Amino acid sequence: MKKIKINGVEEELITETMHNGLRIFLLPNNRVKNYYMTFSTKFGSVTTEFKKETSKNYIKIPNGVAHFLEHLTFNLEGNVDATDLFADLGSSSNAFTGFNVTCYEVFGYDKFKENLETLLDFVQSPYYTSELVDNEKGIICEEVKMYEDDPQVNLTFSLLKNMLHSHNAKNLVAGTVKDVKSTKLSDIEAAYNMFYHPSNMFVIITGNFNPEEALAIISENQLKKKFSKSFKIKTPKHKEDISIVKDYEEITGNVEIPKVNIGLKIPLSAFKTLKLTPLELRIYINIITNSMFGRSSKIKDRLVRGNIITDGLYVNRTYLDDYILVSIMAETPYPSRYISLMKEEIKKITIEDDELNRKKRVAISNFIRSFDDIEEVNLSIQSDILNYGEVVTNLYDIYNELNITDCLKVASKINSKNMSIVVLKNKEK
Amino acid sequence: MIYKFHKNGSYNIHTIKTDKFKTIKMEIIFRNNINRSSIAKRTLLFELLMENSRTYQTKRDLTLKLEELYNASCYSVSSRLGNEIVTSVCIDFLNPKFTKDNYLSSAIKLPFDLIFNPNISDNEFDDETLETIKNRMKAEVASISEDPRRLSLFNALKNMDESSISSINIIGTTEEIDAITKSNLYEEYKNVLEHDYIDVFVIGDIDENKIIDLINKYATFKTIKNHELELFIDNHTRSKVKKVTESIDLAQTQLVYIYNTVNLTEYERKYAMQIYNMILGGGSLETKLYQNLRGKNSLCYNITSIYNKYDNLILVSTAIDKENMSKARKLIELSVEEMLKQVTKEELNRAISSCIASINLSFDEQGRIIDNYLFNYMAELDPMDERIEKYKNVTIEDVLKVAKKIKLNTIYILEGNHHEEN
Repeated sequence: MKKIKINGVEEELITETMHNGLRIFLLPNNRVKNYYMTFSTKFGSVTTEFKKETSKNYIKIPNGVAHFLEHLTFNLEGNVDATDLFADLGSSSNAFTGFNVTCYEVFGYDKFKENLETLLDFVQSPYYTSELVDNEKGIICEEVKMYEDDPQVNLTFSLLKNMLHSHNAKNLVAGTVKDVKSTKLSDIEAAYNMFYHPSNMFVIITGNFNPEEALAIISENQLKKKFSKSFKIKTPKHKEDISIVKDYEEITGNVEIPKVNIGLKIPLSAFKTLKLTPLELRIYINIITNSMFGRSSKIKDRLVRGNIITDGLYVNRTYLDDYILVSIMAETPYPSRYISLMKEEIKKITIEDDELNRKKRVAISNFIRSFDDIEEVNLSIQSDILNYGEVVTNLYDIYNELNITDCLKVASKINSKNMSIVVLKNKEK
Repeated sequence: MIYKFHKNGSYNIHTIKTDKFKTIKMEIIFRNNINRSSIAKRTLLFELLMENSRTYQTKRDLTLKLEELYNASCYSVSSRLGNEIVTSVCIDFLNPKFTKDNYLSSAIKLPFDLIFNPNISDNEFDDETLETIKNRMKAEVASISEDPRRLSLFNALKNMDESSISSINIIGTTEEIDAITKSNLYEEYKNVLEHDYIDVFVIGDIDENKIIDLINKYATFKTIKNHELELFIDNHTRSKVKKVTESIDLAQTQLVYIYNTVNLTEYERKYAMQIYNMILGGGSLETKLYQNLRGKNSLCYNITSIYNKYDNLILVSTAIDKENMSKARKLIELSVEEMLKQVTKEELNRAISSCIASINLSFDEQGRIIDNYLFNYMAELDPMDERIEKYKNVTIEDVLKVAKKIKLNTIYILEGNHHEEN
């Protein structure tokens, strides 16, 4: 057991790795009534090809299998739904799948031991049959169609498709109706056997609980179960070209006012000479793009007051292995004028000293405030593990040490060399 | 958690002292009966007050000021609660004890500054700001049709009874928004400040006396309340069920059922019907509707029932493939029928623990703690411990009894027309 103080807040993180490789992260907060536990595997929608390091051939699965598997995991032997077990324990359970994670979650206030054991047990007792796979297809197809009817989702993935040649991040996490229909029991089993080994998984618990007891419960539980020896997983390295696929596209959908999504594809190699850690680089990029296009940016003010956009600019950043994708979404009755104003603005990316200081203050405040929310802090630990392999406990110091020289160097590398734009309009207009 | 109530003539102050949070939240809550003809104006008014002020001439000036206050957020939320409109003007900020600066009084002052010093000259609001907000609200009206579920719920209620307050959208219609002028908006502003019921809530690790002094310094309300607030809407039942089908260019078909709840006692409204709804479709994944439509027949991804107790309505909503329409309808009707006779002890207990879990969860969120005390003050919620006890004592008989008190009113179908790809 390792205890680490988190700087800047009066909080302490406790970590331990179980004998079978399962990693545990605990952040107790006994001021609140509830606890939130997550059990995650480092497997999401972008991984569709994999093998054990020692095996010869890669296994290939359709898009959407990670998400399909997440649905099926709730079915237990004897026609039992795991959700019911939690409901009987007075807690609520759910799950979600992202690009690089599948996460099972439980919110509760009572019966901590039973809830934690049930979470570990249901995820670790696979029960998959062809019949269950077939039954689930109808449900997932309706889910996929729900996303397809959502203009926001459409705009996001249309842009990703136009920016990425081969990276799987361009595909809907749940796959298409066709992917779902083609999924077989063997795909599900192959994915489970590869990615649900304890050494590829981790547990995070936040909120009101006793950390000593939590570790005892998990360790007893894991000692009772047999797993194969841990192994290394290999996924093929796909080279994603620096270019974009298409620089402009108009699509139609169920919208009244057109929406525009502008994307910048920036290779991480551009920042190599700056000698920043991946975390520092992310923080600088977040600050710069928020400052240029966020809610207090000059361009947003101008666009709103000029009635060019109806609400705000929504800046989003997707970090892939070798690239950062920055996207800016807005609703505008004047798409061409909006695009030309934004193109001008993207040419001028920079930041001033007082603005950096203000944004540092914002970042520090958000960091401290995140500890009030047991869900937010749990998911932020999760994102650290996925992105950096470890929990970042000195974020407060890192924020304080940000400086304008590095920030300006990073800003100078963000440009529109590889830019793609998607406009979503109503069919009839 | 220490709750204190301070009566103060024109408005009340409620303080909730707790060390649970690193932030302090203040909500200035305005309440009044909904007036159909001015509701759009009222909603727009609060949007506009949050946009800028005499001190902060542009939204950007205001946002930069908030960033300086350690990224405080200041915003308003308006929502319809039965026949009432409730608007909270909020500020959330990091407790200054975590920083080197003491900005407590600046943070408390800010929302009052936005309320009392708007961008006004000669009894008229600023033109440019008004245009911006009008455009934003009209865009919001238009965007309802982008969310098929929301659209289908709105359309269903409209078809149920267009004259019912339950069917209105508090942001109004494009025509209503267009009719707002800088001078009639000023009339509305005066009206709200003079006649709304106002309660100020503050929650956090606070020195209550200091906070009360600050509020009394900045809150210069002079309200005259000579009217009663009416919370409940009595929606008419229908002797013959109304069925309406419309179509839309989408993949999924939306299906909505609206039921009236009829003659509920206070206990039934607060407890038994909540449990009924939790078993029918209000809970997460173990409800009757979920089991029948999703679990056993794979027809949908989501299916929920919503109990609007102040409207005396239950709304069931799902999205399915057009081909499965008649099957889905049969199963919804079957689920409601099952509620009349087949409620198991297991289902009851799950629903009860779900309700209790939700009460517990609400006590870890500042906004929901405030809501709890507000509803408590409005006599619409019993204190937390009493609620937990009363939920625990709800019986199957209670549920079967309220099951007889719901009556189908309207079935609304928004038919998607895409063909299934394969």
